[in-house]
Amino acid sequence: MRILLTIITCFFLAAAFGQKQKFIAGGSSTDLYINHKVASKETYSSIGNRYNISPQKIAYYNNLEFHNGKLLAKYLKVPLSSQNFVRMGDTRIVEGLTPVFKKANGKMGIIGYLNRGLMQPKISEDASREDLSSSIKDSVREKTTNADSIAGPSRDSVTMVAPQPVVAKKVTAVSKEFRIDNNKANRKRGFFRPKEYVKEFFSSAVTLTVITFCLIGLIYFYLSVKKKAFLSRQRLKTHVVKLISTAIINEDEDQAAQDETFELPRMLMKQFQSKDVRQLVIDELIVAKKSLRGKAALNLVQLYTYLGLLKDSLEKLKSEKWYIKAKGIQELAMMDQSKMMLPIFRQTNSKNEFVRMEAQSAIVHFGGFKGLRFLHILTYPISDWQQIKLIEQLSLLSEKELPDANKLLQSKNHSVVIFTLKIISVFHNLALHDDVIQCLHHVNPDVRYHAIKCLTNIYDDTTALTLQDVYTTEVIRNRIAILQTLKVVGSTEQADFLYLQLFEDDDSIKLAAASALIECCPDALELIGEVSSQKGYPYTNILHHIKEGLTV
Amino acid sequence: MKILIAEDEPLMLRALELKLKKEGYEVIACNNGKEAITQIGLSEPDLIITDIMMPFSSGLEIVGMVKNGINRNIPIIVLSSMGQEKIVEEAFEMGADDYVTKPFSLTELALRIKRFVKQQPKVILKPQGVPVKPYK
Amino acid sequence: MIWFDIISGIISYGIFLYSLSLVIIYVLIGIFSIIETVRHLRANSFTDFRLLASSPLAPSVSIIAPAYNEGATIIENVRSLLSIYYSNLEVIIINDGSTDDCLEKLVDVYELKKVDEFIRHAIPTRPIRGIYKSTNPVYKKLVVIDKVNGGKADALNTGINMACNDYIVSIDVDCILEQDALLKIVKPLMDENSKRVIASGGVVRIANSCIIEDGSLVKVVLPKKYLPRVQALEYIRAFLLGRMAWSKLNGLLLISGAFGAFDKDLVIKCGGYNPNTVGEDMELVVRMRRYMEERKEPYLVKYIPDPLCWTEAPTSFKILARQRNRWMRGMIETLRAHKTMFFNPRYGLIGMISYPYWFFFEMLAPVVETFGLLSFLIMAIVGLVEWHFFFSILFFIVAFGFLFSTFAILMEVMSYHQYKKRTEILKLLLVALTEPFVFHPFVVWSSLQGFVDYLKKKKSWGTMTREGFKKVIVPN
Repeated sequence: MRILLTIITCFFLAAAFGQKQKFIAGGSSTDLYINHKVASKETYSSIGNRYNISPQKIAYYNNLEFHNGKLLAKYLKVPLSSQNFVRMGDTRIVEGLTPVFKKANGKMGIIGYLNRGLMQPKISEDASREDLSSSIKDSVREKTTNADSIAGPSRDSVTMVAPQPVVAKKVTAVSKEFRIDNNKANRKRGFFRPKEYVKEFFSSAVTLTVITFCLIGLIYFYLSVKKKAFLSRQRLKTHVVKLISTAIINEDEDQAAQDETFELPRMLMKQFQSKDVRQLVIDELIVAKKSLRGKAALNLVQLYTYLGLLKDSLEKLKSEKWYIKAKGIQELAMMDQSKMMLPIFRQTNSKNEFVRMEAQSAIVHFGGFKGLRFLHILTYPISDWQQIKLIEQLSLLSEKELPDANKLLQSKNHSVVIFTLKIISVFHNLALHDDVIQCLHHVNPDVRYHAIKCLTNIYDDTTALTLQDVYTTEVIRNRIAILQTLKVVGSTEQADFLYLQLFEDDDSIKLAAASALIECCPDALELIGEVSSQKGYPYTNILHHIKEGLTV
Repeated sequence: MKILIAEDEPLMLRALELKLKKEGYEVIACNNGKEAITQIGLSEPDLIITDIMMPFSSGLEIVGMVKNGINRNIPIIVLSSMGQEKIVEEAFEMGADDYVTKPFSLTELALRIKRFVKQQPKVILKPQGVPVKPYK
Repeated sequence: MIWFDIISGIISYGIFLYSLSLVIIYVLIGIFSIIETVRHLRANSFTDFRLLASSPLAPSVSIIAPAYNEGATIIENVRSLLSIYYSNLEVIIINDGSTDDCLEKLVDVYELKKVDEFIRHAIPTRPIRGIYKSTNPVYKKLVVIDKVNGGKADALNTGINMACNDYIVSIDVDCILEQDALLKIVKPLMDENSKRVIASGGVVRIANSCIIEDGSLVKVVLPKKYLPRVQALEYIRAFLLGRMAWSKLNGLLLISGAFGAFDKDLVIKCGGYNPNTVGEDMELVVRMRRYMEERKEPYLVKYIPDPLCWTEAPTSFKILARQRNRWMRGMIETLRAHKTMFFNPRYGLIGMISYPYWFFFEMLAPVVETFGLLSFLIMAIVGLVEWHFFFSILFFIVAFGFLFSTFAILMEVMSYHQYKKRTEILKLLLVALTEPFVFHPFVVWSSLQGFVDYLKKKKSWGTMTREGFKKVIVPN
């Protein structure tokens, strides 16, 4: 991100919009001229072009001789005549108007407009000019005490504005109003000119600066609050750690004696009103609960209920905010509050993925494999992350069987099917072999992939042949998976099939086929050796690779 | 009997310390792997209990260093939330004497420690202080 | 006269529009970034990443680290890579034809032995001299490939060919990783079901002046020197605000080469890193996205705002200039190679928003700026500049830039808060004030030179120069 890129761009902007610079007239009201600073490479002609006046006239006006070369003079007076100048109040409204200012009585005021000849001067009848003329008219009207009976920017009214002989002196008297009006007039003229928004830029810059300082204030305020919180947290934490660790090692069976050790240290008592402090205690309890079981874990749960922290968690469960709700569910699960199973179960298909995930974990925590019945009603996908989390939880259990797995394998929710396959694979549920084989014909290639992988762990005599059958119709990733599975489940019957795969285009397939062949066929090394001596690369390398694998 | 505990979670460290003190052991508590390594050299513990996932040095590294250099006779109990075969195997391969998976029971851990106390040879070898190459 | 007016009008309004849209984009970036960061922080408050480290079901990852003449630090760096906790992990170090004793050191310390392993030729690379594995079971995750020099992209491709696992994590070998960096970068890969996550990346921070022991970060300190300090601010702004916002839109075009995870199958399908560009990290992401868009497959590029990886920033103007020069060239090359995506509705958001943003506001920026400055100077000399307009717009822009930086610092403080000391925050704020006048013009100048270099060297770009890898972590 080039955040400050605009910084230099604004230089350009300033230049680009600044180039329509202020023309300041000099001389008397009847003999007006503009003092032009001559830039290098400018000639009479280019200046003349710029001011819409013949170059000869400029030379003449300055008492100089006209020529076409480089100009020696640093300044030239450019006369303002009716050709290139429209006096204020003139009825002729002209294209390409640029205001011309004149200083009088120490004040700057517009005395007319430079007509740069973009179009011939003409009487305004064009509707598109209305805005401008009406605003000029407005400003004129203001000083003529609003006597004008004509209102509204109608076509007629514009042309009917009385041609007032406005001279520089008069104008300067009301220069202030003029300038403001003139600004407005220009803005109204359809085209947005950033230059006219100097004040707005400036004031918004000031606003930004103020906001910045507010932010800085906020940063420091936040820092000090955070530091204070951190320090008091550190202090509290030592107390909390002390409290919980003594509770953990408590071995009293007697309730009363136990409660005594649970007694809050005086230091904590006072602070315990604060939600943050209670949260700190809950967090620490959860940390400990994750690592402990047996009596120590029971002690933790008792401490949790004794301190009334259960109420906090229940409140969180009711919260509308997803992150609070999910946290509440997590706490209840970690603290074995299985009586809350029903309300949590309702959240297993929550539309918020985090609430859903925590609820699912909680249910599995409470009910083990039986808890997985939420899979039947689940309409949202289970992410890979969540699958890992749930399987990790399940692997802690003593039971190893997923009820109704065959039904789950037919679920419309593909991620549920994959998840079930993973569970079958991890827990070696051999009984489900035939159902898994069915999944090899699933529409979703990912499901098929996981079915193939799963078969590595639950195969029987027929598995290898079935895999061989589906091989030809599979995508590459699944083919490699089949070959890898055959490495485990295959027998000499697969030798011919595997040998053929050595000649596939994909290097990974070759390698996978070769390593499967080694496992399935006793004379595989010779076979591959033969191919390698005939075809050379890459078979020689594959051969070496496999030999390497055998020696390790 | 000196036991060194390396565990990054202050609460667990404290609980373990209290429990083992209650059992009558002398305890050296370290809250990261690096501190543990220096402490092993300094205070020559008779038994080490270490977590695997810790900042600066993993528990497995500690096992490797102790068993390959500092003093292969110090028994090490690895205490970890990772219960997968692969990691348990790795730990034993590197020379760990026991592996306890979290969540664990404190009483059980105490009993396992007792087993090692009985096994402990009378003569404790002095640390040789010549670590293996990769550890400089 | 009339033509001059029309053309200058078009240019002026064009540039005005350009600046205005940039300001608007930055405001939007700020808003998106807040939304996304808050969501991320909340979601992470109850995620236990450690689960991934040990689970056998976690996606398998191959770390690929190319090394070129890193002899001084390679042992430490590899050691810190090997100490990462992750069960399905392999660490592939590619020695890209180093001329120092890098390989010998590795062989010596890690007890390596040359093995005869097969390496796929999914992506064509320079020839391999040998593959080494350790005889010590402690280092069984380690694979070292020795190959003929071919540049960073080529080395990475060799690593991809060797990788056995589902995901590759490319890494600069001299980067310092956070303890759980790998877990955090892998987690997003598993969050989605309906969409394929093709890549994920995290925050790169500046390691200068930080206290580092044995290849791991002990204490975070704000860089003491000016240049790295501004870059620290620059990185905070880019990673915490810019990338976060783009990731909300799924419009990220860049995952840092310093630390990024990719779907290996897809990388191979796309042909791996492009060895003919200096911006191979950006090029790969763009190509992968393009591949997915063309196949109309739903996909995501994920990004997490956690600081994962710390890298040394250039401390001298000379090296900084070279770095920015490279970034610029890499960017132009990438954008040029995929120019069909420019405002092409077929590529969805990438074609309609991301690509044009990069084209206009990243690639053209230095050109526009220099053009602006030059015309300003000319007009100032001629006397056409209206100063009070200039100053108010300058004030506006400086105030806006400072506000944006301050906002980034606020986000940093409120989210990850790496710089703990108040004085450090104050120093960052001061740096934010001076940046537009010191650091920024220099960066623009270097980028412009990159632009010029690109135009000059375009014809003779065939072979890669034999230079070491300078870091290619574009923070924008």
